[in-house]
Amino acid sequence: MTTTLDLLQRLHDSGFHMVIVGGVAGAAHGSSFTTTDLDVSAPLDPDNIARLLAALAGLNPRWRMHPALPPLPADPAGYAGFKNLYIRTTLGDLDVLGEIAGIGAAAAVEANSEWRDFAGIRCRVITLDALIRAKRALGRPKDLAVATELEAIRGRHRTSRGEGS
Amino acid sequence: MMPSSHDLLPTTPTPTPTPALSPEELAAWRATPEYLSAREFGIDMEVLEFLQTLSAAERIERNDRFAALVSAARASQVRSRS
Repeated sequence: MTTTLDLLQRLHDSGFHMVIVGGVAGAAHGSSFTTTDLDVSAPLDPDNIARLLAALAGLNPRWRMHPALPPLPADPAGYAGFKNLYIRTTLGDLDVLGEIAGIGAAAAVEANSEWRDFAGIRCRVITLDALIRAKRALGRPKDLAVATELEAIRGRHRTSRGEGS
Repeated sequence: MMPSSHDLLPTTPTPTPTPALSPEELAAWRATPEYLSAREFGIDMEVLEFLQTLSAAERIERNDRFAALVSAARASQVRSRS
């Protein structure tokens, strides 16, 4: 029944340049908090937007905040000036973010990412340390709870590496 | 043109499943300040320990199953209010 992996597969196959952030990144690192959307950091240049649109073809992509508006424009040039894209698809909600609190723009996020394998789908994921920084920077109660849990997970990794905490 | 994700693939595979901690490592983890802080925060540490034994894909699939339940519960609440 998984849909996040299906969406990841499409984004991967299209060559969309992205880093998984947010709740799915937390889940990938072993967080127990549930998320209902996929957040990714990505450069919003026309080439990358074209790959994104190719990935979402057939998924009835629409503006999540404005569902009454027409579907997403097919021309990548129509996205000039956008900082974030909040998209609803038949495979779930996808937030494409141009900047991440506590980390910076897409290039900075990529510099703080690592490759992960999701059942054969290889994607970049924000590192555990950077995700903790981002959650602390956001500062909302749920983000702080997630950060506390992620710090415990980081303690697990240090323990398995034989490091002191 | 920017490089695609495929252009940046590493040459060495990344291990998928997280190796389980030995009993000694688990005991050491449970004694870390971060673990104790999370437990005091109210986080279910048994669930957290279980999740550490899953692969990244298994963790995402688990999230999706719970997310579907959350969405169904929200839809049910909306229906009962209207």
